[in-house]
Amino acid sequence: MVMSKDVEKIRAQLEDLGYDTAVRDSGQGMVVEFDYKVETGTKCGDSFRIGISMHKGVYPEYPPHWIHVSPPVSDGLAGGVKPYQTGDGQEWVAMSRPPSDLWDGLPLPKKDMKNYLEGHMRRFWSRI
Amino acid sequence: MNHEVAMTLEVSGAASTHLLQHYVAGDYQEDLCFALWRPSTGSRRSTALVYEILLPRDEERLLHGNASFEPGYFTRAIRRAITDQVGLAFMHSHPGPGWQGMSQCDVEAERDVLAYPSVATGLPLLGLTIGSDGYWSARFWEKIEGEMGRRPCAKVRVVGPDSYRLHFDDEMVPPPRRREVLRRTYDTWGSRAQGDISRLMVGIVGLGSVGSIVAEAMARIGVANITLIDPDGVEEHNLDRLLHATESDVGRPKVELAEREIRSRSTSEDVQIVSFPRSIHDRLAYEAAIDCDVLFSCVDRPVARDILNYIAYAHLIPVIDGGVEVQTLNDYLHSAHWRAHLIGAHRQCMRCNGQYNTSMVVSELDGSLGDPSYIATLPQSERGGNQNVFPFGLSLAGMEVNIMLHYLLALDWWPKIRQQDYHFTLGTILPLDGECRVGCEMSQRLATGDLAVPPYLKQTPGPWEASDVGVEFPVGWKYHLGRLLGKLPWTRD
Repeated sequence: MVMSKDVEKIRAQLEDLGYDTAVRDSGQGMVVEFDYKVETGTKCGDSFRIGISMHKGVYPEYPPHWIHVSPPVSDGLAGGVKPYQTGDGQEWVAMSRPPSDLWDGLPLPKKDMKNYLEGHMRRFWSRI
Repeated sequence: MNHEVAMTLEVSGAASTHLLQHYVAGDYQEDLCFALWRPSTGSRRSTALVYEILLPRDEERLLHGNASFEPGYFTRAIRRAITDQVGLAFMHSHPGPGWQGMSQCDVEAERDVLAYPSVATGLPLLGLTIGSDGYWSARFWEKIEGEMGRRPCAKVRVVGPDSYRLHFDDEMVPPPRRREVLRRTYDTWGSRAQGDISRLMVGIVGLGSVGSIVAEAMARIGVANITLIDPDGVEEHNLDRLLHATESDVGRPKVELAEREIRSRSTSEDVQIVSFPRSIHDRLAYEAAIDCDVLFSCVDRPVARDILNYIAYAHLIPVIDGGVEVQTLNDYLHSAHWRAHLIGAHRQCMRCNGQYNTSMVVSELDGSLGDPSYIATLPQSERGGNQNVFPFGLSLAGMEVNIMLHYLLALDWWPKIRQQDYHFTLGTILPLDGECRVGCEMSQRLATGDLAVPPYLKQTPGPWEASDVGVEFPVGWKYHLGRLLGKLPWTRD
């Protein structure tokens, strides 16, 4: 599997944060997966398998766009939601939830997974 | 292939302060310096973007009416160029005004002394002369059929935050003769300004309700070179806003309609129109945009705006963008405003002024912005509604064209106009101003030229293959950029 530099960078940043990652090819791009313990919202304390993906070659100037979650959840928004199943039968939902109000305000060295998780992923789960 | 030069007012100012210091003090004394430049390559034009002046240190040049440099100065300059993998420029001053010719002494210095060693940079030597009035002239030196030969430049662009100065070689690009059809136009801003405006290369990206009117304005004021870019065809729901469109035009490419109309209305003696029924997202249209001196961004999508943002900074091509926002409530107009702004060197970019953001770009790239249910989840500010009417588009187009004219015509004492926001319900025009946030990626791309390519640019083949639009570059340029990118020459993906 050939990983682009941005996928490698995301993976490395997540591993630096202590996450054990895997990369799979979704057919529409690479998804970096890891186990995530929810810290906010109604699912606080639960663990999910999370995937992050984005348009090839644009990270970190442009943010990851898709949040993949297994088992699937809903944040109540209908748009940009794609349920799917991986080859091993695992159910997923991919949600298009870019950090539009966060990313461009960060200087380039701070456009990383630490700020993505702290500033965006926490907020994503707080709405569920 | 045309050859040109561009630089920011800041760079031009640093060079001219040094080169003209003796004339300003009343001495009849020329001066010289070296500079660095990067290539900016369009489909029909290659431009040297001068980005840094290497001023001489003590004892590095001699002044004796003419000026000469010590070998150590040249060695220092060419080392920098080779290390930074950029081109070398040699600048000197002349006592007369306007575009400068070259004396035999000038030719020998540039061709015989400087140009051959400069081959080591992989790029041609750029020679520049500044007249006593600050007017730049330029030429390239490179091997042509085994001999070191001169490639003349058609013009030098000096891109300021609040003014735009175009220095033409009148022999290569003669100013138009005054004609009765433009009598009132000449009467308004004079022949010098009309000479600049008519010789501008204007690109219009998006030929919808705003772009079609901008195109009409360019044709009427005598702009002789117009590039039209839009992938869309005329649809029935466009007919209430699209200038000149009739029912029989439905299905026709918008660029074809615009070209037909402005060709018949142009006041230029010899209008040249290039039409691309493609998205600016497509490499061929992108390169055609880089051929322009000024671009109108009449688009409503974030990817197109992002690409134009790149071009404005990396290639020093000012972009005038705008947009209409309408809000309705209970099936009635609640509010409307439209905003126009000029984007470019030392001005706020479109990301920092809130016209779009990178999340919107990736959403469009992934197709989400074509999904109405997705758009419904976005904040109101990011939804980009479709509501508009002809008079609103007309007003915005007028605002955009006038911002361009103000930029071209501005005298030093004129107030700065960077952004304007017209509020329809209040009837107010607010002048806005702002700066890019610290660390903004766009402003860091200033004058980087071909090194800054949007990472998602499409390499779509089509009826205009590169060879068909006259792409031809000196071998050294191809080799050099290929070396920089670590790829085959002129592949960008």
